[in-house]
Amino acid sequence: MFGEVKLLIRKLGLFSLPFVLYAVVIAVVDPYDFLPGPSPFGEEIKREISFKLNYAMWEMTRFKEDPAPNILLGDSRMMSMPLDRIEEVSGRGFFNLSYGGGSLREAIDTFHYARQTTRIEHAYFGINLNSYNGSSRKDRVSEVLAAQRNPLIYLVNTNVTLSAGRILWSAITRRPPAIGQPLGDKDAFWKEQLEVTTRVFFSNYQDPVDYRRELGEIAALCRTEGIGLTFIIFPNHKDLQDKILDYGLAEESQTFRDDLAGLATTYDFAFENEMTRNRDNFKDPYHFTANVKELIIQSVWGGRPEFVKILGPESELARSGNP
Amino acid sequence: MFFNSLHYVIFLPLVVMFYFLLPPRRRWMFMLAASYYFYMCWKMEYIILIVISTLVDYYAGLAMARTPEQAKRRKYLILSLVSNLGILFAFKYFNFFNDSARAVFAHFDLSYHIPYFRVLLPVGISFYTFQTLSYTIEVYRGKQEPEKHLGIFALYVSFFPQLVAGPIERSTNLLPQFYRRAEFSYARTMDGLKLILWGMFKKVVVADRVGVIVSTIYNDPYQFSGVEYILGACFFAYQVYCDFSGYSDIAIGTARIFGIDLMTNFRRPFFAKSLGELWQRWHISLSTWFRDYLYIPLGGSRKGRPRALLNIFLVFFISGLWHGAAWTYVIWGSVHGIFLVLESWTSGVREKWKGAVGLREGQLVYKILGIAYTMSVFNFALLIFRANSVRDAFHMVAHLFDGVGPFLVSILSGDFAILQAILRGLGLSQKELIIAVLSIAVLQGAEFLQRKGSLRAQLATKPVVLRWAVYYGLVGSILFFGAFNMSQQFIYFQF
Repeated sequence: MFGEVKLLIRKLGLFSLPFVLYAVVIAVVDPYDFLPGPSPFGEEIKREISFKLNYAMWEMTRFKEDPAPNILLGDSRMMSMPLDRIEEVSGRGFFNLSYGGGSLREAIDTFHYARQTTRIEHAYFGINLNSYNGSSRKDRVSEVLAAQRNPLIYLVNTNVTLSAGRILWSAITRRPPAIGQPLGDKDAFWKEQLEVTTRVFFSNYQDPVDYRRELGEIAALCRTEGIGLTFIIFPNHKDLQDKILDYGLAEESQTFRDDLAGLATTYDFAFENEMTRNRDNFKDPYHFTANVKELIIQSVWGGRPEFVKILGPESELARSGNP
Repeated sequence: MFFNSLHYVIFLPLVVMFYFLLPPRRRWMFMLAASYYFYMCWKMEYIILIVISTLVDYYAGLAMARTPEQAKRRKYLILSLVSNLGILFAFKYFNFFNDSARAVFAHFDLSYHIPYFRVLLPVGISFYTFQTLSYTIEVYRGKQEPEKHLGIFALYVSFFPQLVAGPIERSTNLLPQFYRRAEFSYARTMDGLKLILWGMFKKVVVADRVGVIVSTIYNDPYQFSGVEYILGACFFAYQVYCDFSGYSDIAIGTARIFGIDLMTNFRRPFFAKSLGELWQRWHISLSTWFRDYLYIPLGGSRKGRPRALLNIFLVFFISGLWHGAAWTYVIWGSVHGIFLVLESWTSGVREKWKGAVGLREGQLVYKILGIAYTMSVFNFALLIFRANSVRDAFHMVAHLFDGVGPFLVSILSGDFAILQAILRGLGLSQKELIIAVLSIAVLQGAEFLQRKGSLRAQLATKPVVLRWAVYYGLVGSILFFGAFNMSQQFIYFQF
């Protein structure tokens, strides 16, 4: 019997070797700096690769290590906001917990994660109609939470494997990593975003029953715990505003604004004006340029509102001194 | 304790090690303790239900053997039936019938005062109840000698690999195996581990992955339309199959390590060419249980055609109820019953029609048509089975084809934005959809190869490089594509 047991152990041990080796490699590279201990690979290369492959894992892991009392939540629009300028203008410490291609589901779950990690003073949610949509269910946050509960899940996460592979490859070949594609021709990309992406976002728009309830709960929680809460509806180009109307979502668009305004101070930049009519202010119908970012920062954090409607419960507006 | 938990990964090697270190005549004690521990990890106090079933059936069996009088023997059988089915009724069905009665009373504005029974459904109660009932029925029929060893009998009722979700073993198969003095065998252990590996692939790569999509659709069906319903029904067929047959594979593989051969529970059901054939391949241990202990005692096909058809319907009606205490299960069973009755009733006409159009059983087109028909009916019935309520089920059935036309037109014209919108609505990335579809393709490919016999036996004849590549592929798929962060338990635990 013992001979057979020895044979089994030897075979299983041999079979397991590549997996052990793999685990060692991941633990050494540690693309998201998730595990304790130093890694021979620097922050720069990891940011270039790992961050782009999984924004949520990157940001949440860093937030856990070095949290800040003020947080930004949302999608690529909020993610693109320059943190150093916001800190400079506001005089407060911030952490950007927004993810490219993010959903409201992720923003809500990240808010709760942040609240459990540190004492939050103010949360800024960047929300537009495409994310305030019952049919937007993307969720990359739960896998990060699962990995934080059980590091074995981190070891077998496909983004972790891909990141580690690319970091190693980049180190071996000494070639800079190339993640993401160049935008190419602006007109063509504009058209693609306006036609295809907009159809993906709005062709099956659903009333966001759960999001409405959950944001209501967050607003109540913030009031109870003394956390500041602000919503920002980022500017979108007039072409997109028209497209939303073409999809018959005028009423939904108004309900969206009313819902947010009923909960907290809301900075609404997404309406027709000189700024949103000008194509030069946008990279595509959804994403604005650096000068618009500065305008937003001055409006929200600098107390100099421009091209914005400030909405919200009467009490909140009076307290903040806004019109 | 779930098979797909870290707890089980530690539990199984420890049990195997101590089991084979013990002298053979003491092993039953250890295995019984391990089995009780396995069950008690879920809810400690419910072990008492297993002990009650064990004691009642053990003494009923002995008493029947001592009594030559048929009337007295019947009394002991009734004692066993009443106590086992009584426990099952109290814990699984009481609230269902109570709620239904309350709804009827409320409809007629009548007062109703029987309270709700606050109780958690004991895991696997339908499985071990049917297993232990088969013993007393077989003893009553004189086909099984009563088991004199209480410990061995207790192990028969509670053997941990198949305790909570089958296969529902027959005493004639399982009891004698506990007396076998099996020694540790490398070949048998490897064979068992390979089966466990395949079962884990089915469970965590296919079932749990598509399960996320299925849950999104069924938990809020009013947010979706026909395309998602059809997708949800098809994915649920794979979820429930991989979840349950995956569990069976792990159970059979685990038992094999101990030298115990459990019965085959699934035989490539999605290659069945009729619903009747599907039920000969799906959950075989339950189908044969119903055949032997319900269909045949009801008269089977011996009392004329109409009675046979009624018996078929009754068996599937009750099978629906066995699966769960809800009207959706009853309707699901009834739909199967109706289609099986129709299949049986029209068999003569269909044979003539086949002859007229020149179709033969071996033809590819016949197989494809048969499989397409079977899967359509099976998936349609599963849509009702999985729905959270009868209202949801009716809504989904009524809107099953909403939006399907425009969707097909868009896809066929090369416009995939509508598909992307659907994926977004389901919270899915293209990568996740591709993994789900590919894992199903791997499963179907493997099952296609199984038509020539066990895949493990076929692989054994291949070069070591190929064999190991397959095993690495499976382990790698489980580790990297398995849905570990969703922590889904096995669907059939609730039955």
